[in-house]
Amino acid sequence: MHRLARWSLQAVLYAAFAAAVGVFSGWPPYRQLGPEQALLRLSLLHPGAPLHDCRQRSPEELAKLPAHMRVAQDCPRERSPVHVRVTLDDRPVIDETFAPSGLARDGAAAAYRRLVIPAGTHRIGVGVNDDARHAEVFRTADQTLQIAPGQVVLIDFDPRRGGVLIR
Amino acid sequence: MLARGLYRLELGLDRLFGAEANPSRQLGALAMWSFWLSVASGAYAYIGFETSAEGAWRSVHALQEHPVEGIVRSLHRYASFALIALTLLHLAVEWIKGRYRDFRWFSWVTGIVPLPLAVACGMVGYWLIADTRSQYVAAGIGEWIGALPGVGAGLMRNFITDEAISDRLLSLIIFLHIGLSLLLLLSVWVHLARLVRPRTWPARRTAAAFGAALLVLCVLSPALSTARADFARVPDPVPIDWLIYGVLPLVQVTTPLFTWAAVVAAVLVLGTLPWMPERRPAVLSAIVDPQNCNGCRRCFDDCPYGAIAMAPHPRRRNRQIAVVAADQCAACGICVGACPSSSPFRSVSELVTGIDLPQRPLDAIRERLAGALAKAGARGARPIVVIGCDHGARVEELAPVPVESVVALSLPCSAALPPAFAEFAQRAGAAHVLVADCGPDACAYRFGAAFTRERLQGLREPHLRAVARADVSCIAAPAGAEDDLLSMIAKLQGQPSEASHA
Repeated sequence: MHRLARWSLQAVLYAAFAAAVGVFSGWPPYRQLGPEQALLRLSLLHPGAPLHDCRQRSPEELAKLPAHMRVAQDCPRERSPVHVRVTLDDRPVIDETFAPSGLARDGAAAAYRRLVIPAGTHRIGVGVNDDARHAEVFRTADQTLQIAPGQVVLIDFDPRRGGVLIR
Repeated sequence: MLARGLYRLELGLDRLFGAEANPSRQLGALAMWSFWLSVASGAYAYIGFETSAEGAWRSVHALQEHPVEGIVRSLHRYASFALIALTLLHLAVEWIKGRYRDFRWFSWVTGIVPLPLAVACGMVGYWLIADTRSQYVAAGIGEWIGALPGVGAGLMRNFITDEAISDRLLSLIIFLHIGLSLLLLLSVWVHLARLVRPRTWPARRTAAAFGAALLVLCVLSPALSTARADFARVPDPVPIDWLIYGVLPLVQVTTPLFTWAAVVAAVLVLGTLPWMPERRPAVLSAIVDPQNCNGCRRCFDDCPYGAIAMAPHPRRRNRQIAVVAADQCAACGICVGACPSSSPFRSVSELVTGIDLPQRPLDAIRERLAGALAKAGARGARPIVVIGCDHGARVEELAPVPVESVVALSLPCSAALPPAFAEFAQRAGAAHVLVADCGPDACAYRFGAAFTRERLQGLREPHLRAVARADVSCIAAPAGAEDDLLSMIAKLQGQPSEASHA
């Protein structure tokens, strides 16, 4: 083969590789949502209330303990799971209980859910129970939102900022 | 079928690029070259990078506006992509060639590890640019990793609101990005641990052409940031760097745990390939004969896989003996060709050499060669002896050549032929000895073809005596190059003394 033809063909092959690198590092793009869809995210990280009340140790119990561990009250560390209910236009979309983390179940419960919803006006209702001793008590929030296509609605829970947050 | 197609492709590319500059024969080295390009461009880009939540996107945007720094930034992205693409190609080629079993299991298994590390490093790198891609990658990884037991959904909270992205998080991501690059380098070092003189740099011409091609790409289609990350909106549609975070759409289309299962299954299947059952005779490692091993260390020097060690000789004081690590031995026979005891002129009824292959002992090769030449001599013919390689052109199936004019012998590697055999063949009546190796850049056992040529040219011990060199030729005939071999034989038959000599 003529030298010029060989070099040209080599250049074509190198160019083809480079073109493949250029093309597939961004194409085809991925569409996460349809044109009239939005995203509802539930994300919370919250330590539930203690699962059991503290109790007073009896003198006999205290006597059995090593001297440096004689604390008057016994407060179990285990925390309540966090129960979350989410409704969209009064239709339940999430109704789950999230267990506390940690081997002793004494950490925060973490929750993440991702729901694709149709864009438009929606009534979002959220109820959170973080105390298994009072399972019927929910902290709630209810909001009607005009949700644009591609918008993200985030449901969070932070007792210091008023409990349930929808934003 | 697949392998045959690959060999044809490689042969075609050999002819186009020249075997020494053929990129398909140096995929691993080109992957390393991409790594270094990525490291150098990344280090340069980091000078102008602001490690803060507010400044990250702005500084990367400023980089891409600059004529030179924009190219450097683009090179960082494209070289990273090329690194993964070339690693995948390297794995695929080795798999098609069946180079993952027996002694190669270690290189195969450790060769898989850099792939997820490179992907993870690339994913983490995308976090740093703080654009909508970054937002997609961060959320995608959060959803994917967060689904693992023990990690928890709490991880996701770092990537879904503007206020969660802090300067500290950016610093952590930088450390992670650099740390994963170092781990990647470490994994490559382990991958190469069993290879003697591993090839980690491509040929200069190939490196220059490859680098130039990426630079042209950077100029013509620079890598650009998308809009600044906005956690109140879904980045849609999002450009996907398919080799780096192409797995993330699968997380959303299926489930995070399904994606984990698919990835782990793929890695397990790849990782266990060397032990999958296959109908094939077992490879028997080379064996050392203490009576005939004089401890010269030539086999130790020439073994491409470091499978031979020297130890004190059990019977001779102050002498050494070669010891073969069976699990690292390729049974290529390069050591047999290197052994000074492998001379066919030794006046022993059975040729026992210092180191030999049990499945193809040297004595049998000598007998076969001598017998074939004697038979041809009885017919008054002076045949051409063609020594081939089991992994190269199939010399024992050269159908168009008249049987009486050629004595063909295939060895595990051309370098398994002790050079004195060429002279032995000439004295036994061969008109010419043609050694058909795979070519120095295509040898299945790395250095076999190069060592063969050096030995025949008198540049490496044991060497072929100068008086015998005139009627010995070498031809690079890798798998699929049977036609080249036939042309060479025809040429030698026409002009036996003017052939291209070794």
